[in-house]
Amino acid sequence: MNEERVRQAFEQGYAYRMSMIMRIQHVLFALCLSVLAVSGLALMFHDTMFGAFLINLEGGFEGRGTIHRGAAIVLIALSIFHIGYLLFTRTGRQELSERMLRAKDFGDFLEAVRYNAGRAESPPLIGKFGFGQKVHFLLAGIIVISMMVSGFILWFPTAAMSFLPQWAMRVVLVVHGYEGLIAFIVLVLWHLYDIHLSRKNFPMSEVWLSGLMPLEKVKRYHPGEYQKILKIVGDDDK
Amino acid sequence: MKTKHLPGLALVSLIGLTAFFSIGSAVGVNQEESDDICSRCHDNDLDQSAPQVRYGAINASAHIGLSCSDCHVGVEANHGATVPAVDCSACHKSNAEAFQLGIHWKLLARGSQAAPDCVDCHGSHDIGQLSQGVKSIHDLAILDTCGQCHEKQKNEFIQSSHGAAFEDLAKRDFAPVCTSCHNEHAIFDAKAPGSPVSASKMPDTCGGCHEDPAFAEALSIPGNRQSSYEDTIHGLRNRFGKENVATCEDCHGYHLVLPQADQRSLISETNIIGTCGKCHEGANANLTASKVHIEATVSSSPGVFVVRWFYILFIAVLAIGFVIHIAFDVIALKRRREGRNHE
Repeated sequence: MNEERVRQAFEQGYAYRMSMIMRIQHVLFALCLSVLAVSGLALMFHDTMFGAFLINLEGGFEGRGTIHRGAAIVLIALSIFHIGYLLFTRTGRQELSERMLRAKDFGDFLEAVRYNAGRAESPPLIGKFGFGQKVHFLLAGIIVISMMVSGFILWFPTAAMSFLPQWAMRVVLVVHGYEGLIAFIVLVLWHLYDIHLSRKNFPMSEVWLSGLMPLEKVKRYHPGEYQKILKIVGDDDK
Repeated sequence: MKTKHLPGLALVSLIGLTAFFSIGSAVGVNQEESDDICSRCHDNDLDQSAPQVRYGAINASAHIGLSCSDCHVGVEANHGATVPAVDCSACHKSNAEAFQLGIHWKLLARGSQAAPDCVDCHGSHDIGQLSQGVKSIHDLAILDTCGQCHEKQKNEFIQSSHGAAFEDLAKRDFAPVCTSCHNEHAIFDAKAPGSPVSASKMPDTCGGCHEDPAFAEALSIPGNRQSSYEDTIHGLRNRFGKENVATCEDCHGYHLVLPQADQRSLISETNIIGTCGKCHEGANANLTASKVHIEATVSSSPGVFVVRWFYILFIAVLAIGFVIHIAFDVIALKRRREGRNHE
């Protein structure tokens, strides 16, 4: 993270949480997933009124398929870029490191539960990303990869079935559909709730647009991160 | 009176009496008597130029009790060489309307000599009877009736599993005949969208018998053939009207449906690669090993069954977890408002 930016934001009363490149990737990711979810679930639930309506809207059977695979291609390109960014750039590696689940996170989670239940004096020193958020990232990665693999198998059945075991095709169809459904539920019931309806962020967290989070929020929900920021800006004052 | 005059007298009397009774019976004719009029030319062995109708046939037919003029409306005695064709729709309106939807009617209307009309399938005066040489649409005779024109299809059917079931008295009740799949009167061209043997309607037509598990058990064949097809990618594509997708007849044939064990079958070991290969270019033995009909049951596809149930349970757990998460958040918000919370 650009230290200059962090300092600038601090002076305005904000923490700089999400870089421009991450915000762009995130918007693209959200767009791709939305299109994939709508077109995918329409087919999975084609024999419901809602599914049939969606398929109609998406240009019928053919159109829906084209939309779905088009969005998949964009997502694949985005994922390749993202993995390259995370592995081969300095800031990317930093971002990756901040999102790795460590032993501390499990301890923090238990501590947070205790604190929320009134059994602990002070809240845990959660860093930039709490336990839930790190699990989010992990799930996102796992789901995207498995959807890609299963998606390709379904897209090229003749090639896939020329070497995969005979049960593969029908099991892969189940995996692709139900895991897509999991992604949709995780996104709606967890992610969308968190960023829009939770008491922390109601009506909407602005981080995805401006990259900034008000310092009071950082102090309350990410105290570990707040201390780190103080150190960064404090160093300068010396 | 001289005896030599007797023959002449007898002849004159005969002519006179005949004239008297003919003229007499022309006035106030009732049905029975009118039938008699017709039978004078049409049921005797004197005038062979008139088509002969055996009246016994009518009374043994489905039209028992009807008279000639009920069908041959407006035809008088001493009619000309040609008479108007009988219009069966006068009584059989709904069947005629159904017939007019189909291809036999379309061909007839265009003047085709080959297409059948009512008589070609049902017969005429002997209608409804079941004996050799009589045209009939009875299940036991219809193969021959349709086979008059559709000989190739009839021969294929006879060689098929369906034909074998028909021949087997124990299985006859389960077997289809021509009209089971092609309708009785509204017989469409197989490519027409309304046809029960069109690609989009085929699963329903075949499924009419082959879905029912009880039917399947009675014949020791797999059941649920329609639902196990419709839930797959083939069934889905077909449901949405895609043309280049396998439906029942692409893999099983239509008239010449054969068991997989029969080498001639499209899905026999020898033929199946070619059958799948029609759409799946480059298909190999590995591809053809996979199932086309998929039932998510433990006995049929345990992998699908287990994976599916895993996901359903996992999703349920996740959903419950998220709802709890939301509930806690709301509770904490309430507690904070009431000043009962840390924050």
